[in-house]
Amino acid sequence: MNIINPKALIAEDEAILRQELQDALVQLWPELDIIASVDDGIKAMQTITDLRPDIAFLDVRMPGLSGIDVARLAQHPCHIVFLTAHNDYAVDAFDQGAVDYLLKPLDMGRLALAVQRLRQRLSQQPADLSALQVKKPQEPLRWIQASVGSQIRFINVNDVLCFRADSKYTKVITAKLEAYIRTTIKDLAAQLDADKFWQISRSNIVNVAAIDAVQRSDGGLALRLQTGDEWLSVSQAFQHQFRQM
Amino acid sequence: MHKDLTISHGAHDRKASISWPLLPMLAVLGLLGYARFASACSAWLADSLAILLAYTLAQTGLCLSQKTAWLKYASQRWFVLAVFMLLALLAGIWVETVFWPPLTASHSAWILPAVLIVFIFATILPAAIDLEITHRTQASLAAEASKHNLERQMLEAKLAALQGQIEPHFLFNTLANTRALIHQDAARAEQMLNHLIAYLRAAMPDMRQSSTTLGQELDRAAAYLKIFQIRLGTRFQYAVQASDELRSCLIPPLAIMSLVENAIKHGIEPQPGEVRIDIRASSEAGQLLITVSDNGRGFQDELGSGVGLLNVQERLLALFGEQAELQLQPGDKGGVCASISLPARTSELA
Repeated sequence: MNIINPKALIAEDEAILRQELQDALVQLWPELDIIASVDDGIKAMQTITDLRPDIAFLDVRMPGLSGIDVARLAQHPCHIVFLTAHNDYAVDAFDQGAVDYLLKPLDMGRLALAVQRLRQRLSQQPADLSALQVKKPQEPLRWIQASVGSQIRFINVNDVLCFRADSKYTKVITAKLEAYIRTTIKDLAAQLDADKFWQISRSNIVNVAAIDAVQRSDGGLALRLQTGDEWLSVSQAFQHQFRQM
Repeated sequence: MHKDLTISHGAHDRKASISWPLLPMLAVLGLLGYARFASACSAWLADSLAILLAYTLAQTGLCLSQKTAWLKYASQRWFVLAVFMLLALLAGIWVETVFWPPLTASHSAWILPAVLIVFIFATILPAAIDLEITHRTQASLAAEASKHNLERQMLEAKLAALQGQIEPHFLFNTLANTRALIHQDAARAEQMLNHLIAYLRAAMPDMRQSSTTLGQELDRAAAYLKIFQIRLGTRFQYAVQASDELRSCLIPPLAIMSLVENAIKHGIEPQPGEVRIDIRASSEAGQLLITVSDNGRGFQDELGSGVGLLNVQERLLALFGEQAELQLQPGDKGGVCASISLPARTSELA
């Protein structure tokens, strides 16, 4: 399968940059047929489905859908080139054999190289990007947006004494307020700094710095937080954390 | 023996350093019982009782002065100890006169008080001094630590502010636009550069300052937003509203910028179609209220690892305590309304 006049889509939300890329491609690859230039991710998805381009230049940060989401969800396989302003985690996550990426401001030499690679690859089947995932850098959680009534409160994670499962929600308890979030205890446990927060049962995660006392009771362990009189029991599965002390 | 233990422990752990004077008290009771039971009156019994009782009382004084939390000042602790040492001395003399009446006749009257004083001082004073020194060292260490902690937090906040000042995405995208505009529309390229220069000039603030004026911060935010107006074109609008007299109010550097950058990154850029940002400053009852509202994408994630807003919150807390507040609320027409409320001042913040 050799394509003489390959069809291309450009998806870039900033008009000036879109125009620049289009002009550069016209110069570098006169046979390329730029069938559409769009300014958001949703239009990009639509265009890929409707017009079936061979190549898509996708900005990573776009309104609606990110370039990565577009590549992952696209119904029609095409060769993808990502555009990004900063060599950030999004780029690190790519299998660089499957796709190409260009840094903004565009370097014309680099763009020419990308064009050369695309010409070679056009005869091959485009890479399947449906499993493309952005690896987020593993940074511990620092803050939480939680609702208190109609307000969204901004809670520093160090101020949290305890997270508690409460029907469909998770209650965030600080010395000053109690708020609710939708994230489950299990998901929270994976994101919190494991040195500062310990899960003690299926429904409770406590801030280690807020533990006032730990005691043995009926063969199990129970702990009390600095602000409360209530004893929280530590389930068997989570007691190992306390033995290290 | 007892005394030696006291001092050697004192060096390691203050809590374990003094034992309640139970042992000498038991000995006193034992001897008293023996004296009563045997109706014996003798010099050795009287001397032992006097010394043991004096020691018991003096040690009790030491325990009370050092182990109880309600004596906050060193002077109070020394006073309690002195009272108990005096009591110990008097009790010793009293015991000797009761159990060995011939004392007054046979002993020289000054010997017993002198022996008691020497004994009490030798056993109790070194322990008391040692404890007092530990006490003070710990108090000054704790004060030092909390001071360092505060300084460290301020430094961290500044560092984070410096690092987060110019976002690479913003800088490179703006440069990419400027370069493209040189060919497409040279006059606008020049405008873009002017805005970028204005923004960068203000983005390199003197970090020794803990505050800038509201006016400076609003100008900086405006330069930043003008850049976005060129980049995003007609789909983006903004407005800045503040009365002239408020512009001289002092606010922490980068606070407004953090809110604006947050609105752009999480609200405006991901939202297709017409978008806008409004910055307003007003004052009421001595409080300055700054709001940054957008009609963008609104809240999506409830958990974050970003430092920007947290950093603002921590700086406000460090500078104003409870008097300042950062709040985020869903906007009236979608999007987010972020507001900072802080005391309206025109003289130094901290």
